[in-house]
Amino acid sequence: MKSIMLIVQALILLGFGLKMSFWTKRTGVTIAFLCLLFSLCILHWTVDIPQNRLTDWMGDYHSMQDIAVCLVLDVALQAAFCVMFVRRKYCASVSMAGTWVYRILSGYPGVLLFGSIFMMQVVLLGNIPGQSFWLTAFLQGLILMLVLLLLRNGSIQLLPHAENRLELLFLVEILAGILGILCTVCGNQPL
Amino acid sequence: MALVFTAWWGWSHVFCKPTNIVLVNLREATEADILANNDHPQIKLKTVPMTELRDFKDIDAVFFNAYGLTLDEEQMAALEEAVQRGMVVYSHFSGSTTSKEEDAIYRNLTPEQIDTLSSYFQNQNRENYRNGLRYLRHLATPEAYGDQHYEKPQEMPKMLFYHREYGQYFKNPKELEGYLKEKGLYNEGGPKLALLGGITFPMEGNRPHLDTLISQFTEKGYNVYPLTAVGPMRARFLKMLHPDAIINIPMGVLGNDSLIQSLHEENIPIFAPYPANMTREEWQDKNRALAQGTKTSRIVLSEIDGGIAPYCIAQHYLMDDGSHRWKADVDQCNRFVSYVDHYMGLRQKKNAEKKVAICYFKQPGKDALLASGMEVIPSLYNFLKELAAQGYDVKGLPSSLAAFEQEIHQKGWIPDFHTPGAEQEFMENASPLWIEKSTYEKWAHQVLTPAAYQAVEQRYGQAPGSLLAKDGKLAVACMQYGNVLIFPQPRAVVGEDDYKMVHGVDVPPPHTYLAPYLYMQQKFGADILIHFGTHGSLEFTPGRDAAMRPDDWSYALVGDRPHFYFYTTGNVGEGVIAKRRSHAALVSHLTAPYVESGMRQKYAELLEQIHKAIAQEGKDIQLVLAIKKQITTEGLNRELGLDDKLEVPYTQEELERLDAHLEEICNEHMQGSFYVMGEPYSAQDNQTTTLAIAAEPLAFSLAKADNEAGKISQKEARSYEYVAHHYLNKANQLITASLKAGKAVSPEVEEALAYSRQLGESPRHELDAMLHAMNGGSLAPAPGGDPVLQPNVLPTGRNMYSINPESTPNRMAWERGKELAESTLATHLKQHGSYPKKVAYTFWAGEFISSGGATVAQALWMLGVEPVRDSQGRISELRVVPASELKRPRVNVVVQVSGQLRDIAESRLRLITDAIKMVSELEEPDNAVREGTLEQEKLLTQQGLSAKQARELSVMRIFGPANGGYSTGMLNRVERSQEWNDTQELVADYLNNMGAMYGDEEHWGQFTDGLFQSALSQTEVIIQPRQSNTWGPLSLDHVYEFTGGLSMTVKQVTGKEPAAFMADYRNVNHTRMQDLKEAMAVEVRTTLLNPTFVKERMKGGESTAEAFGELFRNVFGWSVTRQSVLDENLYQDLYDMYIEDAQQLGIQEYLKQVDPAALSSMTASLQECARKGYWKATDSQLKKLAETHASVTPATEAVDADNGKQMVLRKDNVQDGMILSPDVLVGIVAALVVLIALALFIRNKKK
Repeated sequence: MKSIMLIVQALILLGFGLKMSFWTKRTGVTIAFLCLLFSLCILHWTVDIPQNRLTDWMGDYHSMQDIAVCLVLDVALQAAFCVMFVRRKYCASVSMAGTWVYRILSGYPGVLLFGSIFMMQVVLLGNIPGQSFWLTAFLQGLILMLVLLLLRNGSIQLLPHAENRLELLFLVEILAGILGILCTVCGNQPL
Repeated sequence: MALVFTAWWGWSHVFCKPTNIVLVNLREATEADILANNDHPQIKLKTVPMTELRDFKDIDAVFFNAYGLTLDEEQMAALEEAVQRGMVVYSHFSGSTTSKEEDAIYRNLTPEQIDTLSSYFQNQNRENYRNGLRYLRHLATPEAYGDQHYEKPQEMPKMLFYHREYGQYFKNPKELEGYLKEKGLYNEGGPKLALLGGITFPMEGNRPHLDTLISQFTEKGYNVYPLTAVGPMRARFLKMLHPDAIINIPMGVLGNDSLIQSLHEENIPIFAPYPANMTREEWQDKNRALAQGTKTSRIVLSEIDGGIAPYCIAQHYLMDDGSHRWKADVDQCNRFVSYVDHYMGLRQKKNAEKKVAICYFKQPGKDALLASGMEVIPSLYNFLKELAAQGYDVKGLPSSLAAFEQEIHQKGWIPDFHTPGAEQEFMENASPLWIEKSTYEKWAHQVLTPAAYQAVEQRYGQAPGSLLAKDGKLAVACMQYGNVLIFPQPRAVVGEDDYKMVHGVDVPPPHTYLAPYLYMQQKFGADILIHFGTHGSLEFTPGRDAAMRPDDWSYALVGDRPHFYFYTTGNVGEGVIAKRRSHAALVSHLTAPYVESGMRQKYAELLEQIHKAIAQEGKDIQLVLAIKKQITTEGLNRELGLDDKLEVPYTQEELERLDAHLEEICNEHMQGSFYVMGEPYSAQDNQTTTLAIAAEPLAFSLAKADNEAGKISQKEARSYEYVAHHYLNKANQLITASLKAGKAVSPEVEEALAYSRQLGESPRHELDAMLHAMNGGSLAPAPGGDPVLQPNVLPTGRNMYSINPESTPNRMAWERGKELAESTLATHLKQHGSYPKKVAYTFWAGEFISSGGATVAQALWMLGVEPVRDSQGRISELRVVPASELKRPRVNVVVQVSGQLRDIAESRLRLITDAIKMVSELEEPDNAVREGTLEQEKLLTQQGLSAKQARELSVMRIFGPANGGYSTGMLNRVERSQEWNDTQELVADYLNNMGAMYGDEEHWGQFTDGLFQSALSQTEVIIQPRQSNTWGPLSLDHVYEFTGGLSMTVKQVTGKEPAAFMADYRNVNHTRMQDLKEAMAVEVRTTLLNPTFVKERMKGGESTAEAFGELFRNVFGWSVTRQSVLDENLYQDLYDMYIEDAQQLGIQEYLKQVDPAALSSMTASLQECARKGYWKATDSQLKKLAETHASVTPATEAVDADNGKQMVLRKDNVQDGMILSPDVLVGIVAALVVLIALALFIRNKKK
């Protein structure tokens, strides 16, 4: 179960990086920077949360159900983005509403990454004794920022065609969704 | 609009601009006085804590108290800037600051102005404060509009008498008396009370507690003489007044030794109430401890004067201006006045009319009466006879000791509620006193607070409850002889899980406990309460450690009558708790005498051979092999971990170790039969005790003289072994000869003769001191401790005191502690090739007091930290010793403390935590403290704490019983061995019971699950300090309770049994670390398995005999907690000596006659050792044990053979020597029932 959760988190990160590849460089850097800021902002709460609480949440069927709902919604929105992207590119006409929906979906970064950052920080703070909490959170944010930019630029370099990245994003999101539901089913088992 | 604005600005910034004066670092009382007396509308006063003083903007003047003032660089820069712009700075007590502050202070004042300001503020009265502030305003803002007028300072006398009316001062008592007569306040013939209110006085204002006391005492018929004077003038004033008693309220000591001695010689008791630096709400919060500073300055130091009755008579409250003002606690003042009135009233009351209540201690059941080192029944009988001789009414006292003893055993016992039938037997045969429910409840409501009594009812139900109750009445064990009431102290907690409750915090005592105390107060009307011997449970009932409240049991149950406590001089650590928590005045008594162990005679030849072999450097192989054979036969090799290969000779080093070990066995101070109060030691006991006290110091002084004469080297003169070999015998001979001759045969022996004389005088002195106190007299103060180590405790019969913890570790203790810490590390390095990562210490109050804090010094030095002292020798801060200077890795520590130590040395525990925090910050190689902190943090997060909590708690290394509790709970838990199957259960309880942390104020006394366990990780060594010859690892159950319990817990936490040592401070010339197994071996060999010891003890009565039972129970305790410290043959040796009586001492006959309960306890302990698998006993041994046990165990106690403390034997099984646990029996019965039911079911089916 713990491994599945790790894989889900890795997929969320990868999906986020792929999604960033559809944005401009400046937007990508801004979002990555926001992730750094987010890491610092949540420190106030994460220092007070025991690691075991995460385990309890993940072991709790009801909270996992809630998380699964968020996950499915997020996956659905990213999948919708993929569909809209294809429609917009290959269909002759797209309605005004469809264009606006696409714009919104295109700008929507996905929220699951922020949950992952939160969890990651709780685990990090509990496993690096003696280090300044602020420094730990800052380094976490900085590394995350760099990883996201690397993923964005790397995916553009490796997959220069947007369709390929889109396909990969779609598959990654669907896989994350399936694994998330799997977690929910097993949510009443301890990790 | 512009006009209005300009007018407003001008009004507020020019005409009405206030002069801002800041008060910094002033004493609370002075600060409050100054604030209270400012009546100038344009002087704005503000108090700022020293640490928060950062900005001097808009400040016109600063009023410092230079004493203790330290400003950092940033503060100094700001001060300099402000002074340059013209700010005025005035300092009280100038000269106390460092030069940097001195430079800034006074720069804007002329010498004349400084003198004038000093005249105002050092002549403290209302007018001077008022005008002083106006003058300061004038100097700081001379251009300011408004009233610039001020009066000249008034010169006040340095010593004066005063009274309630402000501005009235008197040069001598006569003037004050004249004033009182004029006002109609003088009580003709009334006792004179000197009231010392403050160090500098009068504080005109902020003294409601003093005014309340003056009024209340005056109403009671006393003449109160409030006075102020310090130093020699105070002594002069007191001598001039010659009061009947002193009420001493100022912080610190009353005066020097000569003043204190003269006051006690003149029979002037000192009462020491105090105001507490806490609000009323804080005081009423039972979890809120009195600040250590207040405790030291108000309680500890006054105890050194011989002060009694430390009542908290006022608390403070916060004013809007930021100052704290005192608020008299009228109820507490009343209580205190009533106490003093009762005390002083004893002077007038005839002895025949005085009612005396005496409480003694015994375990439930039919065990002997208990008191540390004292034979209780004869002592009590002697005391009662003495009372009769002094005219007290003790009508009906049996004419013989035997008859008295019989009566005590018939009427003065308390049943064990775990023993079936015992309660019934008590109620039918013990002629108890019966108290009606309604009467009991009426008394309870009069004495206890509603909340306290409600707690009792919630736990035990409505009175009379289910225990010792019949027909709505409550039975109380007691005896009355004329005006003397005698009662055993009942059990303080009752329940199925007593072991949890005794450590616990909020468990109220049952009705059975309250009843005798309520009766004593309300019906019997005792004038005096005496607790007889060391020690009872009253002072350990739940509640705070000082500044007691009516909700505290020890406060409520004693009431407002004088309370005296006969206490052994050997246990000052627990004695001071009785003083503070039950307002007792202690009357110290002698320990059991030290007697000749007979070991030197036994091993003289062997020692001689060893000396010879050492001198020849082991070259005579035959001799060494012969030695080895004898050593192996005696089993001495096992005690030192030496091999038993008889063909391999000992090395020189091994011979030296054997020599030291045997020398220690021969010189071990062994105590004989218990002391009987009122009876001097026999001539032989006096001689052996004098030798124990004086021989070693004399031997060292003889060696020193020879060293100075060039006869021996300095190294030899300091070597314990060398001095013991070459000088001890001579010292013994000199002292013995002098004692026989009745005069010193050489000048060096004078001191020894004085000790002998004091030992002889002490019994009489003790009784006289108690009788003197019972007549309202004063009790002289004295230190406490083992007389062998601290002969200045002689003569006994004095009120023991503790030490000032702020000065600890003192310089000598620091050196000794360092030495022991290094010795521990060297031993570990030698044995394991590396330094330990973590060392666990056990801190006890007695050792802390006697060693002057050497125990704390050890821990600090392990961390690589040393104290920095101020000019008065107090430790103000710590310095981290650089790694280059330390030249070894820093070693982590964890400390477990007793409740007593926690109460008396709170600030030292914080000091250690500060040291841990400092060292944890150091990023340097080989810093096990930092490593441990990180490890602890990691473990805590794994155990479910948040990162923040884990970080905060990762530096917590000091643990102890829950706040307000005093026990590990292990004694009852271990001894109730039928209730546990695995030591893991005990470890869980230990971690729970000892897991309250005592590191800093924020977390003081809190319990966090898993914290203690994480702090014990990596522990490799445990250390128990020892500073007394009155106990050893075997003879005192607390050692296995604490050190055994800790060892067992560390073993489970780390997976490895830690090395265990005793830090032995008993000999100032031979401070060392001793392996626990070796220390145990020495004690076993010199006591339990030593026929001489047994014969000596067989001279004693039942209290002495009871100690045999305790020794065996402790063997069982060690078997459970750390069996490796016991010799493998010990059980067999004990069986041979005590059950088979191999030495033909007649021990069983003695025990059967004097104290069968002790024999029952011994046999039960051995059987339990066998049942639990610690001893592989044969069937015949078990059978014999069971028969012996059955022969001395009453039928009613067969189920719970040791009076409810342990064992699972059943009478019917005992006959066959079978041992079955109740669990097994229940299982068998259940299985049978199921089988029968099954058979019946099948049969019915077939039908």
